[in-house]
Amino acid sequence: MNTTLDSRPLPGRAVVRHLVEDLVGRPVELCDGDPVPADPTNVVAVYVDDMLGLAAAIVVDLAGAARLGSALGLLPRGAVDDAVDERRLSGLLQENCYEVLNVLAATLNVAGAPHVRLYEMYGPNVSLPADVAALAARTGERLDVVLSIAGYGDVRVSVVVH
Amino acid sequence: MKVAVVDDSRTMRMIVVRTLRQAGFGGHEVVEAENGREALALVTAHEPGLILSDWNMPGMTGLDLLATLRLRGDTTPFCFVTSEGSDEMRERATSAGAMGLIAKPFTVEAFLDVLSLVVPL
Repeated sequence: MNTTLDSRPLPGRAVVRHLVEDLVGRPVELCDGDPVPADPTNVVAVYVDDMLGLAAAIVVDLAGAARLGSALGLLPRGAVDDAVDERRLSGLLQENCYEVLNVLAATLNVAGAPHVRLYEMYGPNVSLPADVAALAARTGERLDVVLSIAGYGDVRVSVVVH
Repeated sequence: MKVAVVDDSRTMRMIVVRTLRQAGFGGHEVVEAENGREALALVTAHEPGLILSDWNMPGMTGLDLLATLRLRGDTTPFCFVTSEGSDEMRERATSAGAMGLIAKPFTVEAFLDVLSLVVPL
């Protein structure tokens, strides 16, 4: 029997940790964190359902986004320092961060909830649509954590579901 | 045999190729494309014995690529390598003619399980 969920559950902390760990191939620790603001210095991923309805957002701090991108591509840590200094992600870091956020959609796709996929990755230095900014700032259904990737460092992540 | 790896992320293509090698399939030539449309031209030019494709890609999705190939009568074994790992998406993949679906993040064992039937070591 198929059961339809009234609302999309937040991904489990262990699910997020294991997914990132498996993806980058390095040990990852997870602890509680503060909400990551969806301001223009950070990276915001927007997830939509099959009707293009806004379903979820994931916000990652700029240094964390650079660390995710570097770890996925086995890039030297200097790439992270460059991103923080320049307040932007290079092409490859941006592409790699997008891929990590794309794969993180799997943590939102649970049985009974409508299928979602990554629709857009904003930032850094890009204005957010108002509805995305409002979702990212919600105080209710959210997961705020810090992922510590061995050899790369901390990634501040906020997951917010609609 | 040639293996076509289709993914819009060049890093993910690199990881797929590395995993193929780690799974013991390193003796095969790899050709790459970054979306379905590019892959169609690649398949015509190289006639690979296996296509490993992402699902969500700009331009032409992996599902559209598979449908187009099958409409053309091309029966090249096709396997998705994608973040779309739900039962529903696996069913859609199989219904469209895919031999399997390897969910990201993947392991060497996952590659072996799905590919060992069609790819000689």
